[in-house]
Amino acid sequence: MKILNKKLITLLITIIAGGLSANADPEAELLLRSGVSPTVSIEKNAASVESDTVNVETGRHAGNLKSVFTLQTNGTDEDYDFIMTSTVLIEGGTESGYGTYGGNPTILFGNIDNLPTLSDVSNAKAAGSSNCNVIAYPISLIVSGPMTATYTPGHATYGDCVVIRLNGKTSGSILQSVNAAPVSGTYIVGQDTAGNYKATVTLTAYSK
Amino acid sequence: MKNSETKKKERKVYPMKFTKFIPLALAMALVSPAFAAATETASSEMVITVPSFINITKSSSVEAASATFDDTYENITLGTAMNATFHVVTNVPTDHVYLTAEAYEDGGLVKCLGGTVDALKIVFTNRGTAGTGTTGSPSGAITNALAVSPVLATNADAIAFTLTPVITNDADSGMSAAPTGVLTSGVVNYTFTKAGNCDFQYTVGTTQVANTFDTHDTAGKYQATLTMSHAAP
Repeated sequence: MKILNKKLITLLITIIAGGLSANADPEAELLLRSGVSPTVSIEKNAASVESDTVNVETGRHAGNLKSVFTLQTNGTDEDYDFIMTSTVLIEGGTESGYGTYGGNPTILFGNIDNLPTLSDVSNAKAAGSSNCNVIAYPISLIVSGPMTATYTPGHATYGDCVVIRLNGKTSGSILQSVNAAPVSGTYIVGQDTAGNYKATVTLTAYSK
Repeated sequence: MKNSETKKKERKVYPMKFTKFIPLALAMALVSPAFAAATETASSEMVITVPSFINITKSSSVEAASATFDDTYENITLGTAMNATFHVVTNVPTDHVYLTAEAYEDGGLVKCLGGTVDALKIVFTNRGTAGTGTTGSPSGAITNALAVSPVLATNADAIAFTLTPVITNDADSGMSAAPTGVLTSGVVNYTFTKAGNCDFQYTVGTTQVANTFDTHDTAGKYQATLTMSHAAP
């Protein structure tokens, strides 16, 4: 029994030291290598600032509105598509809430007390001036290096979206801030009635 | 002999079982992630509030006119059609604005609008030759001048004219329908159904309402004040 115990102790010490003996069972090695699968965690960061009141004559807010997400993963860009989208409520459902102004991305806020129509949203996406109850603001995107965030209108799979690439990073933050001034023409007193305007921003990791 | 053979068998069994268990335990430890439970999506709901807004401005007006009379002093004609236009901007689809008019009577200001909401009448009362007096017409003169059948002797120093409204909604601003009005106790309450911009134009007739002008109306400056407000009077 004492001899057997010594052998057990020796075997345990060998494994703890990280070495497998030359007589290790090859079936056990396979079990170790196939045990890890990619996982991801996405959380909205407490640094997000999600509400403000605008100047009713100009549509400007204080400039602090932002969505901040924290991402952790043991996967890579080959395991996931990391996609950020935005939606607004319209009559009959929801619609993509990203647009373009001067080649740069904008985010749309829709009146949830007097819903805009699809036509209103389409007009605001293109920075027009005939868009009741929807307001467009330019956005800025900042991510932890070497990650990248690229606004991709009309993505073949995800529609209007921001594509996040890890480029080897395993964790980081994604910040989308809303500029203080609305896109010219998308806010007009009278066209944009009093009420609460909402934009819902979502960051999702899609397994490939 | 039997004891040594048993011991040999035991030595063969123990190492194989143990080595199989240890890698399995290590594999189980590696599968468990180092961070909290994995969530592959998160959302941020952003809300901005647009407060209520209304602005009323007098965009144009003709607020004075000279007068001529016929030989019997029973008819008065104004040289200019006095008018006023109020421009309203509101972002509240169900908003209200109120039209009132006041003139001096018996030492105080009294409401002086009448008629119907689409064919209003307004009464001007005498503020004396300097135009600063506050006595105005005698008590009851304004009510009589707005009556269906005015009596000349009962509306001294008070002259009624028609007041014609024209309401123009700006469809491009979102106001696709004009507001509607209700006249009650000398106040017109206009109710909007759409937010946006709207012009309210009121034009004073150039001749008096019948039986409201004669020699009971002495020389002086006759005045009425027309007001559009957001607050109910």
